[in-house]
Amino acid sequence: MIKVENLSKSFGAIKALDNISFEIPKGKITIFAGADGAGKSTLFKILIGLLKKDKGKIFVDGEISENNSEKLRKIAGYMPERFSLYQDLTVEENFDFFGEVYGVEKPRKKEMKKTLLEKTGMAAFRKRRAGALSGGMKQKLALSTILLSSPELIILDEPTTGVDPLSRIEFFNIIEELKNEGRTILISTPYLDEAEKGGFVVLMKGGKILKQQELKELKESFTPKLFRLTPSENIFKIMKKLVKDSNIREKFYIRGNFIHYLHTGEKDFSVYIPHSESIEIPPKLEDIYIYYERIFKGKEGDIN
Amino acid sequence: MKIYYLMKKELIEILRQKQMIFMVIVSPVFQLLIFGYIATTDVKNLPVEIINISNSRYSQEIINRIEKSPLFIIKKITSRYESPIKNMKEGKIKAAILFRDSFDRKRNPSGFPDIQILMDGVDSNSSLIAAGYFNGIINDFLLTEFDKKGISVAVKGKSLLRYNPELKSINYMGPAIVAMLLTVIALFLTSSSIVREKEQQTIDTLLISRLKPVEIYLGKALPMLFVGLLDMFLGVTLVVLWFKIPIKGSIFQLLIASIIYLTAILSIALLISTFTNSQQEAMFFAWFSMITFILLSGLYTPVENIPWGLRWITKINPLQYLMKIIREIFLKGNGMKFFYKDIFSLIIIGSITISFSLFIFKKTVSK
Repeated sequence: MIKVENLSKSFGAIKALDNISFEIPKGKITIFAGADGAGKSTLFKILIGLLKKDKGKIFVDGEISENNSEKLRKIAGYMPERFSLYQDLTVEENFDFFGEVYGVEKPRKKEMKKTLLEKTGMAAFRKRRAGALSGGMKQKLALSTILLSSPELIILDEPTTGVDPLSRIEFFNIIEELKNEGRTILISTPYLDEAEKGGFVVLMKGGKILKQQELKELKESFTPKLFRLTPSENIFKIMKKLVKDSNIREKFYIRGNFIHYLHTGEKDFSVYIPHSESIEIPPKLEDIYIYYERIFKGKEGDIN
Repeated sequence: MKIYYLMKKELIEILRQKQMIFMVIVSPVFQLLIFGYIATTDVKNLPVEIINISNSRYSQEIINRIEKSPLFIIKKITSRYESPIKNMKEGKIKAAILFRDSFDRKRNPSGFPDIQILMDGVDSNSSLIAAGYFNGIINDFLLTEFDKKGISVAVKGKSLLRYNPELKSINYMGPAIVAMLLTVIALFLTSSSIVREKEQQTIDTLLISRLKPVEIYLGKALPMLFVGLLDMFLGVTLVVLWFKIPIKGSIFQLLIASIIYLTAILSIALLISTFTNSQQEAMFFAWFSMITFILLSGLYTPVENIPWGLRWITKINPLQYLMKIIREIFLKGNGMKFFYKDIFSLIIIGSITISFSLFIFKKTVSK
């Protein structure tokens, strides 16, 4: 549906996006995961036409999309990182306002408003000011307003940042429903557990793509073994010692009361850690991200 | 139609925020009332010390006249000479009048005392005005005395005051304060409008909507024009009903001038809002612009008194033109033919500022 080739964007000396390429599959949830400064928001803003790219090409359904992204805007709904509706307007007034500025026909707007308010459980709050809603409700309202125009493509920039866990679950249930309706969804998130909800995953760091793949394939093809070590000494003391040795320090990281060890070669480095127990566990996306970010570092030219 | 919804949204936002209501309605009324009373060049209740060594009938009559005047308060009267400098230095008095018999009886056979007026010149304007009043009282007394003695004065000057015969400075200042408040409200409210959307990221939502940049710009400007005109109406009503300053000219022409003026000032405010990144920054630039506009508008100092090097700035200061027009309409009852040049200047300034501001806005939103 969307194909990006060699996209770059700099702000002064800072490279926000560094020659990235990817292809977003249609009808799936694609998650762009990475820490702050990875370039996720910049990428979304360029896609939707809020920022100009320095170089690269964006194709929408095979056709090149120019800087104003008019073609993409026609089919896409975009939800910015922060709550971007009007706090002093009621839920209903926000619906009416955005329905109008998104060019939704009146009868369609009325019908969609009713459906979306019910679907998101916000019907009872229609007269409440948006500023008085909870974090989760605000995000549901923001999502609902972009759904008024029934976009084929939904772009959500960190939609669950600052949202409570229950509301997050509800939010992702709605997203799942939207996917089942055949829509293509792009979500950026700094939370890797959230990225597990995507069908396709793009891992980013410092304006580059570390890895992009179907989540299932990514996990299946992940060759390093992951061990959970139960330390027999103070966990922080051990890590403090390890930090000094650059050859092995990147293979270990703290996870709660345990130390995770990524076993990537023949040599077993776990001997460096005084531990009472070592169990091999299936890697989560977090572990995969750490591997690509710390150890792999694009050795196969996968970082582009 | 979309622009209508944007305008409606802007007005709802203003009406739902208590601070905004305060700023739009309460604050201008409050400020106008305060400024109306304090922004005056009239001299009232000036504390005076009188040293009446002469102690003659003449000196007593002049003192009586000074006592009756609401302009002065006699703090001290003495018949022995005491230097008034100490009291003046301590700020207890602003003027001292010394009456003493003339030493030269040959040149002054009538027995009129010599009069010395000593003024505190720190506030030069008030001192000159007060000194003028004292001289007026003395001259008036002398003319009455000459009449009594059958002495005719060959040349009598008589002043006739037009447009503000009572010389009430509120008549001059009141309409100008309305223009000043209009500037303050329009600059401060509007300069934060776009930058607030930037801070809240709602600008992104607007930009990806079907609204064109020019529609967003106008959707922001038009409600503020409405708010500005509302404040103009409030100000004019207050000036007319409270301060009893009648409008001698056409209200319709005042409305036209205000709309053209607001176009210019709103464009400047939107320009500020476009290039700043936070509401604090916008407030700073709005404040700086406001001070410059007001100081170079002729509100306190006539434009002709402004030094040559700075006077050219008044030519591009839209407030200067509105200030002139509003006074012409209020006090002189003049019509368009007397201030069409000022209207024309406002149109030129308005056209340039709106074009430039819109150009910058379009450029900024499509970065």
